[in-house]
Amino acid sequence: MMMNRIALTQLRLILRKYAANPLFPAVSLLGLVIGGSVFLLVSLWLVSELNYDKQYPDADRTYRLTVEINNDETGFHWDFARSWYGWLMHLPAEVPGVESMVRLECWREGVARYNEAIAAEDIFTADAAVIDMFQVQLRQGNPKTCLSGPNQVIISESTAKKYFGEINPIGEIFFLYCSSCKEQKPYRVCGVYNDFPVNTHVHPGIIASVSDPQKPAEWAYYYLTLGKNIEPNDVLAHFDAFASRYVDDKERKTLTPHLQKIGDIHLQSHKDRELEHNGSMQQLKVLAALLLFVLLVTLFNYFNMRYIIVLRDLKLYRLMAFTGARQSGFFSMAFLESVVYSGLASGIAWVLVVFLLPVFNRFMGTSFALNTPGLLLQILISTGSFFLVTLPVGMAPLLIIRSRYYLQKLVSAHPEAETLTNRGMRSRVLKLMVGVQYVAAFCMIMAVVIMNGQLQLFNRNALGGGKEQLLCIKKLPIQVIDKYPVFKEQLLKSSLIKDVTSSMENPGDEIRDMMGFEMPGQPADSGNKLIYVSPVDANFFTFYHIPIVAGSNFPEFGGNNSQPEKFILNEAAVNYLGLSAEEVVGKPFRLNNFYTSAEFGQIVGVVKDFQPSSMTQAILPYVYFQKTFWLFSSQVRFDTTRTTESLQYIRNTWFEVFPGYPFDYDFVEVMYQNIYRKEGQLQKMSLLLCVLSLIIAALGIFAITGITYRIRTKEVGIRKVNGAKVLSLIVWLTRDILKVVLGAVVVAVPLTVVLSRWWLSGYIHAYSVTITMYFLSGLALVSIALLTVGWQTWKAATRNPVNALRYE
Amino acid sequence: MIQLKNIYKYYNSKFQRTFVLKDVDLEIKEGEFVSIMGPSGAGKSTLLNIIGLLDPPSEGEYLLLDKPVHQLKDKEKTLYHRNYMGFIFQAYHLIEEMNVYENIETPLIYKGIKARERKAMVADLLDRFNIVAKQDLFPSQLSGGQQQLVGIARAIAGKPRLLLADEPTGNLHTDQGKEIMALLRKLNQDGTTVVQVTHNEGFAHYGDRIVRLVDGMVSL
Repeated sequence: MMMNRIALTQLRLILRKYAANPLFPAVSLLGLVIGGSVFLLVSLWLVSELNYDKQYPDADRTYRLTVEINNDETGFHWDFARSWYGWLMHLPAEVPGVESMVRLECWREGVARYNEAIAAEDIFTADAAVIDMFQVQLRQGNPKTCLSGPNQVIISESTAKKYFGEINPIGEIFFLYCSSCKEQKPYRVCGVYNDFPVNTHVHPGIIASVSDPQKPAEWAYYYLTLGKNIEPNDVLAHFDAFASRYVDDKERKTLTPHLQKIGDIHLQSHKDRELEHNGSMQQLKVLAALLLFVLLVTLFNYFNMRYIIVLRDLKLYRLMAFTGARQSGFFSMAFLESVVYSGLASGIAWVLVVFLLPVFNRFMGTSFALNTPGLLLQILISTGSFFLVTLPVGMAPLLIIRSRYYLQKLVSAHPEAETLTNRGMRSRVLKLMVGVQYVAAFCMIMAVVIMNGQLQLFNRNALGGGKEQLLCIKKLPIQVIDKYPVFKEQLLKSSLIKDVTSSMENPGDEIRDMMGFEMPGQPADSGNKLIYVSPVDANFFTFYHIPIVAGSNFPEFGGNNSQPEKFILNEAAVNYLGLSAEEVVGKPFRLNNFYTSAEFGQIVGVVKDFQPSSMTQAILPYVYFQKTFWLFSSQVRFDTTRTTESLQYIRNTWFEVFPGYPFDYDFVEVMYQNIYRKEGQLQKMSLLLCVLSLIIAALGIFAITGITYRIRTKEVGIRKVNGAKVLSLIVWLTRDILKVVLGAVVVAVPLTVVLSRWWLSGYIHAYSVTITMYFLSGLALVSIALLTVGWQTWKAATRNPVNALRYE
Repeated sequence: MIQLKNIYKYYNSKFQRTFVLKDVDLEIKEGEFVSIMGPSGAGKSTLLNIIGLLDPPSEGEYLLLDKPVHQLKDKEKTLYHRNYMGFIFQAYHLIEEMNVYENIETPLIYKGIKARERKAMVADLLDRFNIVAKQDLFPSQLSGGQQQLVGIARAIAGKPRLLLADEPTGNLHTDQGKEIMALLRKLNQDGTTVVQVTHNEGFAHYGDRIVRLVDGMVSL
């Protein structure tokens, strides 16, 4: 009862204090709100990334099986997420411990047609067990019978909406085909499922049944559920014996099986041919580090502000002591004040986040929705954690100061003569706190610099990316691909179209196809070697302005029947062969493949190394050649001043040449943004966090300088009366803050060197940070700090000395 | 009530020790009204602070109500403050964020007095000091004399046995000063021991006894 009464009196006191002097409380609150919102948003993201694929019923014993192939003899290395070993389907029957298995076959460039509606879709063929293993929730249809017979499909809710609208899709017939399908096949819809949640590594739009469950798959992703208490190693231990029934000993020795826990795929799997662009642990760690920096800045700033406020209110606390407040009284006062701050800040941050979520989504390219089950709760938990973290920080200053200055000197003429307030920026505690904030701020600036540089490096090296707008038509249908030359010719008839080229893979996609080759004059042991192949159009290199370093370009487009075949190698391939560019040109060369010519062709040129895939990977040895029926992707350079017209023209031409096939295109720039999504997000995030923490830190020194200058007014006056110039006063006033910020830079540089090394070691093509960058970042930081205090300094230094002295 | 024996107070700076109080012996009996006088820097306030347990002596012994108190912990000091002592300051030192009523009420809350009783006590004090009409005003809205009245009301609200006043009239003009001194004398007559520090010879004589301090020593 008495405690309540005291608490109430104190609460009233606190609120009146704020009302009478709102600046510092407002500044500390603002800093907290900013920090809190950032914490909530970033933790939302972190938690979502960490919870990928954790929602499946048996997630802890569901694994993806991959088989890595390393053949040192041929130089063949494949670490694919999918496998072409159809015999893996016998695993549950032949290896103990495997409870069930699902094969997911991803259709290459799948297309769905229903009456007139036609579009590209993410189509998978899967065993019926997929419904249980992936917890596919059927809104319509019977989970027991769905996918049990041939030519059945279940479709996602959004696919159903797209094709059927209000019509009940059950029993309707879909036509599906893909780039490797000979014909369009009819499938009957037997179920509609809820869209897969955002944070899974696979999002099928259509799942088709397996035509014959006993037939091995061609390319498939294999998922296993292990028996309870079975370790992955128990299963892997049987793999050799199992594999030896299907492949010979020599091949078996090249195979290494891996079991990846399904929840680890998103963050820890970096294999080729992943189903979607995965996240990365590295990215999360960098993000977590940045978040930590922001939190540091926020908390230290908050501590500083509270420290100043408490010092200012010191008299009040002394009076409380005189009138008989006990220890618990101070504790409850500190607690109450802190609750008010943390509560208000967390509350405002919570509301802000709820309202700003759409903006955040647009900015970061994420898709958080408030109606996602558990999301609000999660935000609430984060809010609670933020509240709990800030609570002791808010209490600390009062408790620290109270124990130091208990009952001292209230009765003397200058009650605060010996308190830290008087020393303002000279106080060691404040200096240290501000210093730490600026160390963090410097790290953040460097993070922005590095992330920007890294992205620029990527974009600079992207095929046609970054420089100009190119259009990529992604799915030239195999059924009509022979008509590509016609399509190209038609396009080029218009002045809207500047140039057209094509390749097997879309710009930025992985090229992982390898073939054996023969080259007379090469040492015998290279006879088994494999090389990466990339069929391209004749004008591919001129289209992308890639220089030929030796020999010449393809003479002209030869189609499928170019005889003899012409080959161009990249520099990496020349190295791989152990020759020089000049030696290679003119040599006879042949690829060992069913589709390629049996006759020897000729290497006509060597092209400068460039990265056709993602810059997160090394440049591989490629041989480029022409084969129309592998040119699945077409890229168009058009008149960017007349984009709409150009697009319309390309679309019309498409439907003229390929009637009945979807016109599926994207801008190359956008495709690269997708490929470098992680880096892009990190760049935006680091920029956002950096700006916000700079604002918080600036708020802090703004307030501290304010109070410091007020205390030093008299000193300024005396110095002026004694002849000090404005400039020397400005130097004298900013000396302390300058020392702190410079000190912070000195501490932060080695720290950022270490951190950036660690960060960039994750990239094969890493941005190199120059000393100039450090220098400029330091300069920027110092300038920002000086600008922050500039106005106050000017005011303090130019004040009339008479006023200054009278002011005291 | 108060026994100071060989009290020293000094500050150590780099190379020398500055003495504020030297070998002070002083006894104050319950019910006395003592005025401490002396020139600036003589150590009057320091002496009062030591008596009020705001400042520990550097050396010497201090018995308060026959108990040694020179080496008390903060918590025990608080008990003395709450139960035996009231303070009056030259600068009034009211809590700016509280109105008159709340300022007087504060020590009673800390003392754990029940709401109804507290209300009666504050009302009585407001009435006695004739400041009922001012109870909702904040210190900044009062004159110096009025503020000091509130200060005294607050100091005696908890019915202290010892009232310590540090130049209570220092900031007041003579008429106001006289009123305050009369009030202190009245309180003393009602049984409260009063120790005041003052510069004013006239006001010093309101007390039963004058202790003069020169250069930190009691001059006899």
